[in-house]
Amino acid sequence: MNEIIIPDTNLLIDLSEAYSRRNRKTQYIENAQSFWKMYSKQIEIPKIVWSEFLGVWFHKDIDFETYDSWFDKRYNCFAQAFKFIKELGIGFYDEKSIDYNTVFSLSEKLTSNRMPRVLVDGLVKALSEDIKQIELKLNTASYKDNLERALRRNQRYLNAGKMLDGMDSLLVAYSYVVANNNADKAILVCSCDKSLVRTVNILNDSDVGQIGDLTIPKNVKAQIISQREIQ
Amino acid sequence: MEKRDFKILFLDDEINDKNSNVAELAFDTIKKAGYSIEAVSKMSDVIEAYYQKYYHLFILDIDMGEVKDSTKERGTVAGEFLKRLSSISNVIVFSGAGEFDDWLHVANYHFYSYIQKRHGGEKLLEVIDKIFNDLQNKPFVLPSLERADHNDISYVYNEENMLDKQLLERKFGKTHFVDSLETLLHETESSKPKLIVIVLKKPLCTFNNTKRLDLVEKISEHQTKAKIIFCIDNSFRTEVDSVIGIVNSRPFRLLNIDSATFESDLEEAAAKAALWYGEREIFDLPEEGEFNRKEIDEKFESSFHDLKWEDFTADLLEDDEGESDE
Repeated sequence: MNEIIIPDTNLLIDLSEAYSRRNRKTQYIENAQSFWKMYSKQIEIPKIVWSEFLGVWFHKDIDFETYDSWFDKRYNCFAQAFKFIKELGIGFYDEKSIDYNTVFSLSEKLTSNRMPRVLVDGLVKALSEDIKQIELKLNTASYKDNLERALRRNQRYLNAGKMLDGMDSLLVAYSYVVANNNADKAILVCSCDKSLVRTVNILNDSDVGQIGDLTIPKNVKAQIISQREIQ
Repeated sequence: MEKRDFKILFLDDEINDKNSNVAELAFDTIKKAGYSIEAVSKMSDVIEAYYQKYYHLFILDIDMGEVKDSTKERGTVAGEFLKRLSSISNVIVFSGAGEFDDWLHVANYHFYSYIQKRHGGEKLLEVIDKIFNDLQNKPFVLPSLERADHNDISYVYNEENMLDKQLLERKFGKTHFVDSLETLLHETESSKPKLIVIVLKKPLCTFNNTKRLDLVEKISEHQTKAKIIFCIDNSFRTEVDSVIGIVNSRPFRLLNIDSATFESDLEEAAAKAALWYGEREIFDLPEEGEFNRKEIDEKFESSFHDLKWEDFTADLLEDDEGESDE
């Protein structure tokens, strides 16, 4: 079965960040590039992802004092990332068949309290299991720094209650519309964001067949791309 | 933006030399025009200044031969710095030195302009005014992943059949040959070619006749839509004004037909141009292992040795924990 891979914004950010890291530059670049290289034939970037990427990259963590220099340096990293994916032949998903009204409407339904309750239960269960697993490993591990960080992170997610924040619900809805338009293909959403990945996979494994008028397609899955953990 | 807010860094090793006043006169001309200009006498000062303050324009008196030496081998600090500067900033080379091969080599690094010192400060000011006006009137366009909007045809002016027609067709795919620069200008105004290739046999300008150069400049105004590749041969060695004219029309590539690597250069140009999105070319940065400060061209200042590769990478982002929220 042919695949369409939809990357989340954080993968583009990771790639651009890789060009700005000191010292471990080559390792960072290789890690960040590996996903794009491996799936270059299947990756198609949604315009909403590109748009969020530009917004985050050029309008966040700005140094207002030295804005022009800051922008030049940011642009430098962006340009290297752009060049890399452009040379791999990766481009935008052809959006002629995307009905954005359906995407927005589905996105709203995924974010209101009418969302399938299995999502909340599933996320809490998954996070609690993660925490339990990490705690077990911590008892025996000799090098604990990474595990302690992971534990804090998962506890934070559980306490702060993050689900589909930012553009995530839009991306999930988008992937469903792409999937319905490409019933003969497997759609894989790739992200560094566990909540997003779990949402897609929980819905996929659940009995929820319908959200509003839209039948949840069975040809969508999500995968975590954990480049940052390679650090 | 007022002219006084437009910041220029001027590099000239003769800026304090009482025996040579070209640099000083040029500096004064720019200052009197109202621009904010600072002068330094060493390339290492330019690098230091770049990381400390923002400049809209760098005017560099650098020997073209040295630029060529430092850019041809990846990994030298000066070469990488100049490539970096030309990728993201405006650079004018204001120099008395330079030969045919040097101009060809550095043309492909897309500096904004090359002005020979003999043309003086007024010519320099003319170009600065253009950059200043462009900055205010032309929007900065980020590269886009949108597919390029063109008719998939390369338009070729192959003067007096200088190059083999089949070679051009092989390198550039669907090809449309035109018989004059006038026709090329006319046809590219009303169409969206994938590429424009101009192969020249005769000089562009002679004494009191710049008609052909004017045509090339007009055609070059299309280069944000189409990418222009110029091919000239060794007979242009003595045609300095023609070569500088081509360089200043800011082509995508300027190639020497008589070079041993011409065919592969042409191939590389065609491949790169197909990916180019129409503004500044994005150059490769050296990988960590390729960067060797010991290979710094000794012709450049010794203070380059104080610079580290880390100075060339933007340390923008703090390490954070865990997965991104975006």
